[in-house]
Amino acid sequence: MEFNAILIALFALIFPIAIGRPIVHFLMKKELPLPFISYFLAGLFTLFASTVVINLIGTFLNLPFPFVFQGIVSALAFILIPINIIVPTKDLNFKPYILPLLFSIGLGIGIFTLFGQNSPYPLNWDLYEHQTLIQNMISGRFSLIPSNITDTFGFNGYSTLFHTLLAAPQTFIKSAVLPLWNALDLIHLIIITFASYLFGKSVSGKESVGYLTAIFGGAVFDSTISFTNLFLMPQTFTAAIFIFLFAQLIESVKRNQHLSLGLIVINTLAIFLNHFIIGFVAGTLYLTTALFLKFRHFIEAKVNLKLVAEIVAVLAIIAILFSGFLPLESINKGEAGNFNFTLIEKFNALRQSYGFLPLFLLPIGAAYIVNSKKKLEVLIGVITVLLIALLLLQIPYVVKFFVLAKFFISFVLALGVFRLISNIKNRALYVLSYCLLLGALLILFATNATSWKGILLYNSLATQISPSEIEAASFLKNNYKGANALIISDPATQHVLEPLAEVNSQGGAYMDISTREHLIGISDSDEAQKVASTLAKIDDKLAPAASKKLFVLGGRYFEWQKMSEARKLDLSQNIWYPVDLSIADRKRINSLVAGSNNLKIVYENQALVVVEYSQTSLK
Amino acid sequence: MKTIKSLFILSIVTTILILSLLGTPAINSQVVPVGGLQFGAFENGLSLHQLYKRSYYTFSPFNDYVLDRESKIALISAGEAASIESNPLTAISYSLEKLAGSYKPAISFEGKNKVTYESSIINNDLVVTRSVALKGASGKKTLGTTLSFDMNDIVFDKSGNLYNIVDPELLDTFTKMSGINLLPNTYDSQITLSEKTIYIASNDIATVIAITASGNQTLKVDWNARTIAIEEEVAPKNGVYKTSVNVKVFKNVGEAYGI
Repeated sequence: MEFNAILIALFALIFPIAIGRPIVHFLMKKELPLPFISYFLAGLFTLFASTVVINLIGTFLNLPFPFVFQGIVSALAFILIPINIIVPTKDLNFKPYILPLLFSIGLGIGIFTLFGQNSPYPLNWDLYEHQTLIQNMISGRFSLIPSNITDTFGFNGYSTLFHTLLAAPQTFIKSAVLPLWNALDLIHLIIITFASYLFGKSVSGKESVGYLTAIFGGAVFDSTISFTNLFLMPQTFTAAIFIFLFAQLIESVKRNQHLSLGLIVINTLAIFLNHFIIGFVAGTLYLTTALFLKFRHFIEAKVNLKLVAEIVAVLAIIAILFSGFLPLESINKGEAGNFNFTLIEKFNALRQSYGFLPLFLLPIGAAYIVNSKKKLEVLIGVITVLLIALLLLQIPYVVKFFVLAKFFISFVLALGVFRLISNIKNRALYVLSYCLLLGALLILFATNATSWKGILLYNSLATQISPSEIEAASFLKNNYKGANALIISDPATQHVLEPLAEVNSQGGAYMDISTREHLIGISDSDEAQKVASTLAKIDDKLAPAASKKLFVLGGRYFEWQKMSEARKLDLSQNIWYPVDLSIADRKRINSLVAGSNNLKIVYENQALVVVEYSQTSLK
Repeated sequence: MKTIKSLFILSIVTTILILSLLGTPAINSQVVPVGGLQFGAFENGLSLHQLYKRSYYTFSPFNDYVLDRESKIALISAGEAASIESNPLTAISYSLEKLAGSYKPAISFEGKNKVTYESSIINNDLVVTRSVALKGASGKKTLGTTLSFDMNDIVFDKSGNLYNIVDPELLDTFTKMSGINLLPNTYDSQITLSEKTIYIASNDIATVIAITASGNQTLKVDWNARTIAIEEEVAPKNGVYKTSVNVKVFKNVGEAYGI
């Protein structure tokens, strides 16, 4: 892993904490439990708010954004970080966290190494679109919402908080994109494992339950849609923030230092702004729980909680039963149907990650909660049931909410294991039972990862990008970066090349319907003039008209063109794995280029050929 | 007493963990890379292929034969397909063997004869070993292994002899890519090669497969049937006829020719 990549990843984690700590100390009169999450959020919001405000002033004064952004990051670093020296150091007692942190680092590195077997490049498909946005930001476009920055984002599911955070170190430190995201994913995995520990420990008050929750949080890969622990993206980033804040909330209640209403609202907003859909559910859960815990005595006196629980349970059952009758064909051009899963499919997804473990351990964990009668554990049990009910709804995208449910399910599973092994009084057998659990989870992880990576096989690798594509991106970067060029290819090729080459494309993997229709129109055409005139029509509406068009004809492009028209129009359909050019593909490229003076091969390797299109003759 | 109770609980934990592992879904496509291709067991035999591509190069007892006088008799008749075991245990063992780099696809058929295919793979070198228990047979027999190729695959040898009919434009592209001019054969439908290695450049997949005859093996091409046969006279050992085929998978012709 590259040094610069690790540096950027650590910068993104530590910089907000370092600038946020003096701010929190200045604003908060009393000490917060688990204060580092508040420091992080204060720093993140300060960075984002400063960027928004100063960018407005900069735009008015005609100052280029990269200059403004570097100035903001430098100013925050030089003004706020030194103040840390004069801030009281009572909060810097790391002793209780050293062992769990070392455990999280060890487990994280182990799982990451296991997952990275035969996969040198990150398998986080979304990294390409987020890095595209970050690069657009660094090169001068900034907005509160992604779709104003790049046409890769047609739907604004989140603000640009996440991207501003990752752009800050990248304005100063340069790193290759793929090693950088490997480093980011590794740090994310360690943080998720540590957050799971804190959550389990806070709720139960027991170290061992904390470690068991960390094992389930870090070593189980939820490989269907949510990807909580292995991939850094806005939804998993939001979940991490949510669970840290939740642990902080629980700690505050246990210490009888209830958080102020203002802080609860700000925290809710922080969760929401990082992902509008996941954040809405997570924020609602956080806000409701925080208010309930704050005003518990009053609510318990006025409201029949048992009746409320019964009504909610009946409504949940009705919703689960009847949600399957929703007319999905009317939603998002029917694409929503692709992200809807039957109950059997959801059960199989659970089996893929956990085997039959939940069938045994969830009931034991639930029984433990019921018997223990500890109000906090009962509350977590109720939230777990609500989240499971949400996951069982037969409406599109709900499986995404597993990103939140995973922590609660991990906790109940951990309680289940704890209930069993806490009765083992022989020390050696006790340790052995932990080892057996970890061993079983590693076997499940290995099988799950092998199966998940089975659709990404390329030579001896499991990958979403080939070395030849990386070489081609390097060529494009060296020759066309900043040249107002536009890559035109199938969605997946555009998706992987755009951030690596730093050359624009129309929509990346989310190319619009009009571009798709243009490309469908030349799917089996070898007529050079028809192809040339089609290329002339394609442009990015957010950017100035491209002066150079680069038609990238790779193995993926030809595979994509072989798909049915309906699948080519479907945003959820991509060629996810690299494909090299066959002789038949080469034949088509040769006959295409030979027939036109406007098309010229400027680069080729075994995976793809880059054809430059110009309105004037190139030959 | 404490230890007995602890042991009892540990056995419950162990049982739960074992039963939980049985919940792992089966992995249907159990493959291992050989060069740019994947190699795995399917109902018909062991196949070299690339995911989602349409071309398959399969070692199968339905295509392999024993020569009885001049007629070829398939080792297994249609309807005697092997059942591929796909269950949680095979999924787990496949995943762990893959992690250890020791997974070797194999498959057995039992019909009128018992036929087993085993493989060994080092990087892009593949050796497929077939063991046949021929019912009622004794003494030396000539056995053939058959590989089918696709229309417009380019089948040639190192001397530049082309062994099938190919779209001229495609052949032209091949020549431009490789710098190798292939000489059309006389187009006898069935040709016995004097060379020891034959190459298949796939039309659909970016790959070249080289099949090398060893010892007393003979290579034959039947372009009408689009097959390459490797024939060998073998004596049985303990009633089993054992033969091996050496295959190498290259990215392109340049790599195959060492140029």
